[in-house]
Amino acid sequence: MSLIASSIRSENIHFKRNPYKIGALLLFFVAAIYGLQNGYTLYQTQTEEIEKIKIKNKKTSDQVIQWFAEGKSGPENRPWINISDPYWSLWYTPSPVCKTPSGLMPLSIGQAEQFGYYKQVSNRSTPYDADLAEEIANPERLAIGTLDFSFVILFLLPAILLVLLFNIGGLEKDLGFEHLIYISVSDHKIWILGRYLYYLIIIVATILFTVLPYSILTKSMLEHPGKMLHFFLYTFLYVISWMAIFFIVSVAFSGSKNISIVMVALWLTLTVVLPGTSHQLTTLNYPATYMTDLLDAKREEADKISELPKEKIKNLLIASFPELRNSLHYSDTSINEEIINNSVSYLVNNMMKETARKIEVLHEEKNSFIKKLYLINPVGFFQNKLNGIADTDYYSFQLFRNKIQDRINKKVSLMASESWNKVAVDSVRYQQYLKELND
Amino acid sequence: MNTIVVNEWKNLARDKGLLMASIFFAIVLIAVSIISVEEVKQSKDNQQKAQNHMREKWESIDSMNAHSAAHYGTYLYKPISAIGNFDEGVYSVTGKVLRIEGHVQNEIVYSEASQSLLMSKFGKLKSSLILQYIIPLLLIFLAFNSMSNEKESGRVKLLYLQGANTAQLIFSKSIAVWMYGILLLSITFFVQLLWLPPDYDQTQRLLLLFVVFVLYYYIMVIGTIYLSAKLKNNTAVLTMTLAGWMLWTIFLPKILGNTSEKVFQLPSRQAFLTSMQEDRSKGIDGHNPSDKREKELKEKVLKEYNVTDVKDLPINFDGIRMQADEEYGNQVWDKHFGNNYTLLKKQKTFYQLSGIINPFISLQNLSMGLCGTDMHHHIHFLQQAELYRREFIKLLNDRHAFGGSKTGEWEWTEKNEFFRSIKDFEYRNPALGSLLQSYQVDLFCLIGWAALITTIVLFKEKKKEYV
Repeated sequence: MSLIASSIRSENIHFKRNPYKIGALLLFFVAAIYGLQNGYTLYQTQTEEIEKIKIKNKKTSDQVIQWFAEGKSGPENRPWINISDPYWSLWYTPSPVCKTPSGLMPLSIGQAEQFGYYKQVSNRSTPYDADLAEEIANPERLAIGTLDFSFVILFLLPAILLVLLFNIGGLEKDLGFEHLIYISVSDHKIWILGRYLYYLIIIVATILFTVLPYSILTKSMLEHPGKMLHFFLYTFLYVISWMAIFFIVSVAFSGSKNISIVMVALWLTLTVVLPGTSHQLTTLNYPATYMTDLLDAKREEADKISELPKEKIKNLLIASFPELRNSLHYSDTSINEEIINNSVSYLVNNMMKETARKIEVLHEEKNSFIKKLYLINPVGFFQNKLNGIADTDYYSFQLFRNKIQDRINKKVSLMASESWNKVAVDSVRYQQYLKELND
Repeated sequence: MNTIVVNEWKNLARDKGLLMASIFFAIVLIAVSIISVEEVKQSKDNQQKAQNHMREKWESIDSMNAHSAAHYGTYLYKPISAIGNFDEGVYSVTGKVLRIEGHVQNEIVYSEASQSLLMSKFGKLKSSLILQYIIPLLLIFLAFNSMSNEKESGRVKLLYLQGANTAQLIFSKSIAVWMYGILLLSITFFVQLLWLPPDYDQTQRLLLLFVVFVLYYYIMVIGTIYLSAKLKNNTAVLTMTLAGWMLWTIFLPKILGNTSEKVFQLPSRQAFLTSMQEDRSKGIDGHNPSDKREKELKEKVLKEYNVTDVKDLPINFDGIRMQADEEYGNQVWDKHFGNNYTLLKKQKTFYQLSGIINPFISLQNLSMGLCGTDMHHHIHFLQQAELYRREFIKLLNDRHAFGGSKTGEWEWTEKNEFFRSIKDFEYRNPALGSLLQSYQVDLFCLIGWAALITTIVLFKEKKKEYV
């Protein structure tokens, strides 16, 4: 232990005298703050945007409540709208689904810029609508990527470690006094390990020091302590893994030039080449889909359902939504075409759900393949883990799509059941809709 | 100088490690090129299939009301150019499918990046990834000690005695390493040319791309050897060049890209759509008979045909109303999307100008641009698609208005021949000449860097001696 302690002390002296290493650590510190700030800015932007949506929706619902209070049937320039009809009332019920950013977003932006994060749900919506496209952004900037905190950890940190560690054991060889070291220390590997430990302590302290203020700002430390702990654990594991790799290099190779070349080659292979290779392999096996089935279903199959005879639609509705048997319209001897038309979206939604499910299955196959490639792409593994913890990975957005689907289900079910029960909507009923179709 | 170049080559050839590395890189470059070509071929085939499927759907419409057909619409698919296999650029982060329909200008959707977990922060293993990131690093490793070794071993004195000056030494050693880089480049571009379908424009682009890479490698190599001459020892040179490489290739592009978005801020999607909707609602609502603009239009048409009621018109007023709404919508689109495109172009110019401090950015821009996978090509596609949408909808609205039906006859249908007569969308890349105008800054930056560093070596290092 005393050897480790003494080598930590001597490394402290070496570090303080080395402007390159101090510069490298400062660069890491500045980049970490820059990355965290980028993530925090995105977190704030999304939070503010969601607030704006809520305000806009409040205006819409207040307007409808005012129509009820004034005895109006809807907007003056749209005489065909009757707000007491469940169809129109629900049409005018804002049903937003928002993916509130996690307080951990500053730690990892992940795929958050590739997806939309809010949606106004209507009875014709699907989780794959064009309005769920990502925020308006410069595509070249998206392709280059954002320098966020996880990028700093996953890509910059190993490079910084490289600068901090490349001459440990190598410099002595360069200057020709390695034998002096071997004589003066009982085990030169322990001596190297001690010097490595010094940098481990510095790096971990820097990470904690930079992350803590942001976790206080977003309250993530209080609200998601488990996730924060997970984030730190994976980060620590990642740092340790790199240090272990570099330690082997320091021990196995001699001379700082050789060590640095091997370290750079490993860094480049693990962070650029292998992820790029697994990306290429995945695309070859699972090319991007053009969603033709979904487009066909949305454009044609939906129309086919609407064009069916009303009697047939009625029977299909009863078969897929048995609760309608208890409705007023079920016992009517004649078919009310308007009620049937207002309920068609229930059937269309069922069909679209099935098509969307098939797409999700396809995507999951691709994801399974990606996960299998983690063996050759360990950085990809850590990347997706950190994104998952920060709720910015593919699966977080899949959950968001599921939430959208649930809201659509609720809306079309309400539309069908309220229409079949011939409900005359008033202000109280409308506010119930608002409650049911909002978070 | 020739003797030094030859000697450098002999030294390089003696290095068995380098020989092995060269064989390895040659195989990797060939394999990556072939795989990328195959991947793009597969992608093009899939895209063509989807496009044909949608066209078939359109051409199989038996009979339909022209306005219903405008709602039925069609889908356009963003193509990738043949040399897009070299550099994927923005292709995987932008959508590929665009719905074309009446009343609405949709967003392009279904990007590859949104269809799975994240795999790589630097994209797929394409030729561009190897040639932009890895080969320059290899060249750094070959070059970083070429002058410092001469100094440390004392051979540099001998070279000075033999009549060489520092500038000649730097140039000779640079040429030797640079030629090695060109050799690796040539392998890749040769494979690309072999696999490329005969296309004059694409070949021209590929050859220009070769020149761009040659220039960049020159900057990297001569810069490294210049530092090798200036700095005290190998460690200092290696640390400086590696730090420079990381800063140039990994960090500055991201930082400057982010900065460009902050300097020229784009509106949020919600704010953008709200302002577009507001502007559009001021116009004629295609389905809103009480609109003020419609009244004016109606009066104008009635006067033109000298009748007092739309029912007496020999044409279908609904079609005219729809087209007027479209034209107003087009003005709104031009205003708002035009504003966005202007901002995007400003961001791009800002980013391009940062090539003054980072030649890698110029290389990256030219690589994407010449491969047809940059933002300019993306916007060009969207603009061409919008032009097609306008023609497509106008044909349908005109048919609705002047095809024989009267106002309010929504049951009137058009026959299959009419739908088949509407031509399909065909996209062509912008000509190389017009593209180069957008990339003058990057070309000047690269040439400027090469000229600057040559001048420094030529005039500042000629009389200096490092002993």
